Amino acid sequence: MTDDAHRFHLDRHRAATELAPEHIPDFQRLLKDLCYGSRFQLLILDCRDERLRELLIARIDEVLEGRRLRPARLRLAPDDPADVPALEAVLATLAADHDAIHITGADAWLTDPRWRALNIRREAIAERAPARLLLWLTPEQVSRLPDLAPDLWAWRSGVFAFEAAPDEPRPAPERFDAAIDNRSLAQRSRRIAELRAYLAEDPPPPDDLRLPLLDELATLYEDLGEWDKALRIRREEELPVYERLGDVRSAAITQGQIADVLQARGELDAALRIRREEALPVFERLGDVREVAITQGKIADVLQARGELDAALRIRREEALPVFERLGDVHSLLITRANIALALLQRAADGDRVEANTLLCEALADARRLRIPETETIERMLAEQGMDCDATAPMR
Amino acid sequence: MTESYRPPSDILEVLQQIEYEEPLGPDDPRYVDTREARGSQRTLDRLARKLGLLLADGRMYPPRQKHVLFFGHTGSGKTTELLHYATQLEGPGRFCIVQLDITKDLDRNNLQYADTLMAMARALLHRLDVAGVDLGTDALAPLDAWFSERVLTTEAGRELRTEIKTGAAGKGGIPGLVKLFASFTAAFKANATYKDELRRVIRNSFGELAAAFNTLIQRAEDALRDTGNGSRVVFIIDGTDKLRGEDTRLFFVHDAEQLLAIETLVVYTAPLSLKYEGNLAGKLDADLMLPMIKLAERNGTPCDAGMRAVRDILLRRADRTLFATDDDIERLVQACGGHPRELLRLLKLCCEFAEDDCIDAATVDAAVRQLASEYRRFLAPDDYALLAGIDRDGIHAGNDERTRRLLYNLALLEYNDGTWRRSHPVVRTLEGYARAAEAAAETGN
Repeated sequence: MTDDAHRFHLDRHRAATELAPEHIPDFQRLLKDLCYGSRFQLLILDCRDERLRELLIARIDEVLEGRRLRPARLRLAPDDPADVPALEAVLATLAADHDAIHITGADAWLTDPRWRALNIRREAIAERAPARLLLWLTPEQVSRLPDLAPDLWAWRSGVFAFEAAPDEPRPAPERFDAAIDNRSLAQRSRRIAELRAYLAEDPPPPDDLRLPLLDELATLYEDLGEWDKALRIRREEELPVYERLGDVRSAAITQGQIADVLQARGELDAALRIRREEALPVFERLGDVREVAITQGKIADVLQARGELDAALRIRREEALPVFERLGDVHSLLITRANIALALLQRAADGDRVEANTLLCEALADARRLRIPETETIERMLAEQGMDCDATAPMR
Repeated sequence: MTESYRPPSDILEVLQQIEYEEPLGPDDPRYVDTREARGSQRTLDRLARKLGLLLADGRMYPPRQKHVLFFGHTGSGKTTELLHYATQLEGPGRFCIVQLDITKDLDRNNLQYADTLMAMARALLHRLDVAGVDLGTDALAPLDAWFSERVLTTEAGRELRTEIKTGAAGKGGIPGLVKLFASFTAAFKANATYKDELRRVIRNSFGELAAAFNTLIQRAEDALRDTGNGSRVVFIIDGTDKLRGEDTRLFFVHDAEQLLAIETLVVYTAPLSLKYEGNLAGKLDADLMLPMIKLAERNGTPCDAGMRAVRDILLRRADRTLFATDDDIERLVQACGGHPRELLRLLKLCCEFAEDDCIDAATVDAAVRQLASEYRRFLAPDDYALLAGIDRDGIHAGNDERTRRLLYNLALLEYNDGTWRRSHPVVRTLEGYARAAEAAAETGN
C-alpha cells in the first residue's frame, strides 16, 4: 500500500469513529468514491435527519480538506436558484474552484418538472460543473428519482443511505479480551463507533459494564493516534469513577495510561511526574511487584529518551529485570533486555556493544519461541548493528 | 490482450479507472471480443449487408440510402461495438466512416434533425479535410449558396459571421466550410437564441439544404473513390440512444422524413424502448440489435462463451490477484446478468466495500446486496409480479409501458435479439421478488 493510500485509510477510519456504527459502511464507501473516483460524479445521499446530515458533511469535508480537495455547500431554497439553467450556472461557478459540492435543500427545490429538466441536462451539468456532486435527499425522493430522471439515475456513481439511529436501546457490545489485538484499522474504527454509540445511551450503562468498554475505547483511540480523545476518556471518565469507587489500583493503572499518552505526545516531564508521584507509590503500597516493575521500566523509558542512559540502565537492571525473572514473565523480560541493549548501544562505552549483542540474542530467542511480532524488530536491530547470534551468544 | 498491458492490482486504482461512460476503442487492451458471447457473430454481417457490403468476399452493392437503427440496452456496449465495426467496414473499396457523438457535439436536450444535419455536414467536411480530399469549388457551391442566401442574411447568421471573422466565402474551400459549420454546431449546442432562429431557417429552406447536402455527399463519395478512401460514406451517429421521451419520438418518428431526405448511409444508436413503441417510420431500418452477453441459454443451460467473456472483461479491469477465489469472480459474473456496465457497477461496489486489497466472498455479498437495494428503491409489487412471471415461463410478456420501463432501467434484461428475457440476477435476490415468485408458483401464473 502506498503512503498516500495508508494516510487515506487512516483519515477515513478516524473520521468514521465519530459516527454511529450503522452509518460507517456507506460513509467509508462514499469517501473512497470522493477521494479516488473520477472528477465528475453524481453521488446520491439518502438522509432524512438534518442533524445527522450536518455531522456527515462535517466529517466528509474534514477528510476532503485533508487531501487538499475543496468542498463547497449549495443550499437550495424553493425558488433559489430560479430554475435548472440557473442551478447549472451556480454549480458551474462553484465547480470552478471547488472539487466537491454538497447540494442540500433539494427536497423542496426538486419539483417533478425540475427533475425532468435535470435528467436531460446531465451532460451539460457534467461538462459545466466537473465536480463531485453530493445530492442530499430524503428516502422518498431517492425512490422517485429512477422514474422521474432515469438517465440521471443510470449515471449515478453511488447511492449511500444514512438512516436515523434506531429508537430502541442498543445491545451491550461484547467484551474484547483477546491477548493480542490484531484487529484491522477498519475493525478498530467500527468498534470505536460501536462503543461510542453504546456508551452514549441514556441512561448510561452501569459502571461495571461501562469501565472496561471505556478502557478499550481509549486504547483504540491511542492506536489511531487520537491522543486528545484517549486522554479525555482516561482523565474525565475512567479516573473519576475509580476514585469514586475507591479502587486505588485501577486508578493508579489509569494514571499510568495517562502518562503513556503524555509520553507519546512528547510531554516527558509530565509523564515522569505522574509515574513517580501518582502510580509508583500506590503499587509499592499495594505490594504489586509486577506493576512496580512495569512502572519502573516506563520511568526508564523516559530517562532513556532524555539521554539519561546510566539512570535508565540502573533502573532496568536493578528494578525491572530481577522482578520479571522472578515472575517468569518472559515477554516483559525480553522487552527489558532489548531496551537495555538499546541503552548500551546509545552509551557505547567499553564492552557495551558485546553485552548489547548478547542481550539482543537472548531477547530474539525468547521472541521466536513466543512467536511474537517483536521478533522482526529485534532481528532488524541486530542487522542494523551488523551483529549476529552465532559467536557472541548461543541461541537458547 | 496486449502483452504490455497489466490490469490494475490495487483496489483504489481499479476504482479510479472505472468510468461507465467510456467506450473502448479498437486498440484498447481492456476490449474483449464478445461476439460469440452475445450470439452476435452475425450482427456485423447483417449491418454490413444492410449497407450493401458482403464482408465474406468484399463485394459492394450499396443502396442509395439506408438509415439503420442500432438498438441495445443502455450500457450494453453499443458504442464500443460500433467503434470496432467501423474498423471492419472502413477502407478502400468499402466505406469511409464518419463518426459523430451527439452527446459531445450537440446538446441532446431537445435535439432536432436540424442540429444533427449540421453536425453531419461538419463531420463529413472535417473528415474530407483530414484526408486531404479536395472537392473543388463547384461541389461546395450549393451548400455555400444556401449559407449565404439563407443563413448569413439572418441576424444570427450575421452575428456568427462576425464571431468567426470569416465565412465560407471569406476563406473558401473545405476548411472555410468546416469552420463555418463548426460555429453553427457550437451555436446549436450553447446558444439558445441562435439555435431557435437557425432551426427556423433550416425548417423553412429544408428542401434546398437537403439537396445541397446530398450534392456534397455525392461529390465527396466520387472524390473518396478517386483517392482510394472508400467508395461510400457511412455516418455513424452515436448518442441518439440517450434521447428520452418526447425528444426520441420527435427525432425518430415525427421528423423521420427529414432524416430520410438525406440520401446517404447512416447508423444511429437507438434506445431499446423505441423498438417496442411500434410507431417508427417504415423507411427507418429498425431490426438490428446488439444482444446482451448470455450467461445461459433460454433453457437454462450455461453459456460458456458468455461466462468466459464477462470473466475476461472483469479481469481486464482488476487483476486476478485482487480476488480471493475463483468463486468470487464467478459470483460477480453471474450477478451482472451479462450486462457490461452492471459488471462495472458491481466491481466498483466491491472496490468501495473491500477493506485491504482483496475482494472476497463477504465483499461480493455486500456489493450484490447494495446493487439489489438500489433496484428495490423503485420496483413496485406489480413489477416483481411481472418479472417473476417472465422468469417462470420464459414468455416475451409483451411491450406495455411497465415492461418497457423495466427494460429501460435494467430490472429486465433481453437476450438473443430480444427473443427472450430474464430479470436482473440481483433483483432475484430481493424479498419482493421471492414473494412474487412464490405467489406465481402457487397460482401457476
